[in-house]
Amino acid sequence: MRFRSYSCTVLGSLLLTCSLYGQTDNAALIEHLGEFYAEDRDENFDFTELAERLEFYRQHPIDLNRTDGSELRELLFVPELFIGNLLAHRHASGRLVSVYELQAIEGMDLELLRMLIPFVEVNTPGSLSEVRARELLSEGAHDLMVRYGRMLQRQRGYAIRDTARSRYLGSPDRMFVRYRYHFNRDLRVAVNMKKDAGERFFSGAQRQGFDFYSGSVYMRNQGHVRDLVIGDYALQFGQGLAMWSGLGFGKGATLQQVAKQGTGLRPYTSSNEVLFLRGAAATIALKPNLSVTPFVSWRKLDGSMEHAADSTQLVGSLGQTGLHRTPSEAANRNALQQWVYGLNIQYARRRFTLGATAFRTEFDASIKPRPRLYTRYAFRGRSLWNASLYYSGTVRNVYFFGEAAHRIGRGFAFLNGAMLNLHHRLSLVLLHRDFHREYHSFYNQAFAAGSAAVNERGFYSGLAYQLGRRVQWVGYVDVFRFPWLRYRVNAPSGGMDMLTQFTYEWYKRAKASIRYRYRRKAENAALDLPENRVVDVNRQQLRIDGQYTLDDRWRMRSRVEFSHYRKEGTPTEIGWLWYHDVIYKPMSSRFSGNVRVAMFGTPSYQSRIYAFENNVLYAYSFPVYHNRGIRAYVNVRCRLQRKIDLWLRYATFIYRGVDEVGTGLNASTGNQRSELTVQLRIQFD
Amino acid sequence: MIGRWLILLLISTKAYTQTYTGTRHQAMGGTGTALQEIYSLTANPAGLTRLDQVVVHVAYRQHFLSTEITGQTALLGIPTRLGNMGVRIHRYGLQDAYEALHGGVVYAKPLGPKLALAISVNFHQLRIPAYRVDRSFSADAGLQYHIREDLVVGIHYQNIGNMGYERVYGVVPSTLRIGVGYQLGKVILTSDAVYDLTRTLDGRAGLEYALTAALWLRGGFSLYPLQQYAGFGLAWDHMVVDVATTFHPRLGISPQMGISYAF
Repeated sequence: MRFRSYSCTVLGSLLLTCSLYGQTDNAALIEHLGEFYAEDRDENFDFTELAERLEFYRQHPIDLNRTDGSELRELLFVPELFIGNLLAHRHASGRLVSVYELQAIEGMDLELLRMLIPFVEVNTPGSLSEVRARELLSEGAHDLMVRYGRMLQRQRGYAIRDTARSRYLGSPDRMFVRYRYHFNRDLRVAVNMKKDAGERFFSGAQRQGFDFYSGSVYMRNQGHVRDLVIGDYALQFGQGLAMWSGLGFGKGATLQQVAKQGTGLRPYTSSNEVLFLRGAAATIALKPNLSVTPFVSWRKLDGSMEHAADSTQLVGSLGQTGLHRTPSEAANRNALQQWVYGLNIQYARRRFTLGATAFRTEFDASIKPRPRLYTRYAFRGRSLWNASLYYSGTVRNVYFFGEAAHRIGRGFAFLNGAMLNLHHRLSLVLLHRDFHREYHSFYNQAFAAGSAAVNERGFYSGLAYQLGRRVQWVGYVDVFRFPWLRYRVNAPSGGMDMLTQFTYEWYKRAKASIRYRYRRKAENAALDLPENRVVDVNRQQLRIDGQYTLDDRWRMRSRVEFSHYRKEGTPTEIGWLWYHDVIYKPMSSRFSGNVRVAMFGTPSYQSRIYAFENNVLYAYSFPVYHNRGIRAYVNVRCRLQRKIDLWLRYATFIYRGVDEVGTGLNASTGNQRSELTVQLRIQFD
Repeated sequence: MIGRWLILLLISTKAYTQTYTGTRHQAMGGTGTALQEIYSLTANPAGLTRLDQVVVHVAYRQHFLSTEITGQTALLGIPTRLGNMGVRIHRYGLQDAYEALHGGVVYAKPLGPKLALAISVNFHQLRIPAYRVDRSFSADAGLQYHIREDLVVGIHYQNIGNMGYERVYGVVPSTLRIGVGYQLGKVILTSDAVYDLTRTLDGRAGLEYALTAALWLRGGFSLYPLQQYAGFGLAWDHMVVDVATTFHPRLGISPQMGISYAF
């Protein structure tokens, strides 16, 4: 019994390395979940969607008696084994009477309980049908947030007046407007409007005002209609090989993230301008265990347009940044149209899920990547069909998961894995993948060492061990091969990623961790040789992190990190970073805030170090620290009235020994780069 | 013939390829310095002290499926009142091209309930048909210490004095291994650090999970060379069948199967 009752404990506590003293901290969760994503893919990725999701479930807790598990999966830290146990417990014992009954369910431990409690409750009122329409406005909650930000130094792109040259067309102001309307948890309206720095506002390509508009109406739990979204939405099925739009973490930073927990249909509420769908979709429950999700999407994408000899339109590459600041970026904006339509069928019975997805992606122009050897198997043409089959299930102490996806007429992609609780203190995670080089899906965000799940074979094995209550060890080894060429790698290549981390925790008081990570990948040699050569690039990271809770208001946090970079033919680099954070968060005060002071030194961008930064609400990021200098920021939150909040942020980089920061249009004179952000949130009924 | 030679030279630059690793130990990432069983004859003979039955073992290994390089092994462990005795014979090579033969006699003795010591005297022969034959002798020493019943540390010094062949190109590996074994319920975790006299250090880790009383699942990895390992063991009456495979990212897989019988 003891074995069983602890069966998910270790997996559950894998996230606890972000340590949550007494109360769960959204920022800590986001830092832990999103860390590798920023390093491997996009440092500018916006984690609003996750931040908002956590905040939403804090304010509208998940009803444990009604959930089918999908909302718990959205939290991203609840182990699938535990979700299975919870549903089985409810099936066997009936409705839960109190959230504290969770303690009786296999797999729950004190830490997981502490994390989960703010997000769950039992017994909530019935469905929307019991509410009259006129009550919607009186009982719903409105949430309006406006954010403004600006870099204080003038960048070169704004100074250029010559219309023949590339330049920033708009102002350096950043603006973001976010409106939400929630009625209980069953009806939500979301609107986002965004202008990036350098983009025009009510003129030029952005004649309609903001550069990016996004909106959705979301309803759920209405009879047979489990979820319905009109507007922007995200679909997440299986392991992300075929259809995983919206928030995806690729490889993920925790062992638990290795098994993706698909949330199905959800509204898309992020300000990232790529990887979402726009149109309508619904999840309809045909039977209690069987649901179908038809979806249709039409939207405009960015792309570099060219004209072929026969005057047909060609697209060299699709835009991935959502930035439309320069004449060429503005010209590529909304250059081509994309239709996506398809169907998902999912059968879920207690601890077992089986699903299938098929969808077609079409463009109004032909995609034709540059004729390079490494793009030989890349997608070409105007349309493609994708199909996938996926499964997951729990048998005793093992959670199995996997997906097989096919680009019709071309390649396949396979991913299979298991999470095993070998002992109540020891968990093992295994994952094997084989992605053919001809496989392609535009919504592919599966676990991969490369930037997408294509042209890769690999095996990942990870262990988490809880040495008593205080010490935890996590380690993994991922070995992979890329059978075909890649961007900047002119030969088939391979690599590895290895991590080992110890964490020591003083209950509710402090935490210290030490991490070592080693990564090896191949890259074209920088040497000027008569022949093309591919050499190994080795990156090592050593991190010592400490947090200390002084009392229920003050918290300290400090980190020292070293990075080591070695590539044949280039100088070996060692970079370092030190920072100290002071966090002031009283339970009841009009003011809260945090401050960071950091020093860093890296010989070049190659030995750069990423570090999570606190920001105004929802705007968390992992900026890169490189070169030599000092970083400092201060965030202040002021509660003006009960439902009106104001955030202020000032952040600056001061570099040593330079008289210009940045490159190209982004460059500014002087050795400093500072940003100011103001955010106002008004909530009203 | 030249092609075969080249392959052999390429893949035997690391001495480990010629060092026999027991099937169970291979599946656990090439660890085993702190384990106790018949396979201790191939990793750390001090582990033989816990043997309480006569055990015979034979194994066959294919080095990289695409080659014709094979290995065959026979092990014998005998518990006696004076201490435990063991014999091992291992052949490695390419038929009619290159053949290495290693034999050894082991004596292992417990010194109290926690400490075990062992020595091994070995014979090595390297034969290259139509060229020449060379022979050599070496000695190993091993130690195991049981810090707790579930936590063991082992040290093994292979080829003390770094003996080698004189007349042909060939290596009698000389390594120093330090390993830890930890039992956690149905799981055994092992980790070895292996230092060889070519001044390379390898880190290895392995895991065994007893799915049932008669079925074990195993896995592991080694860092240098970077390889992953997997395997299983199946017990039936007096017999245990072990299967293991090494996955090398470039060279492919090397399977091994071993059968043990306890009298």
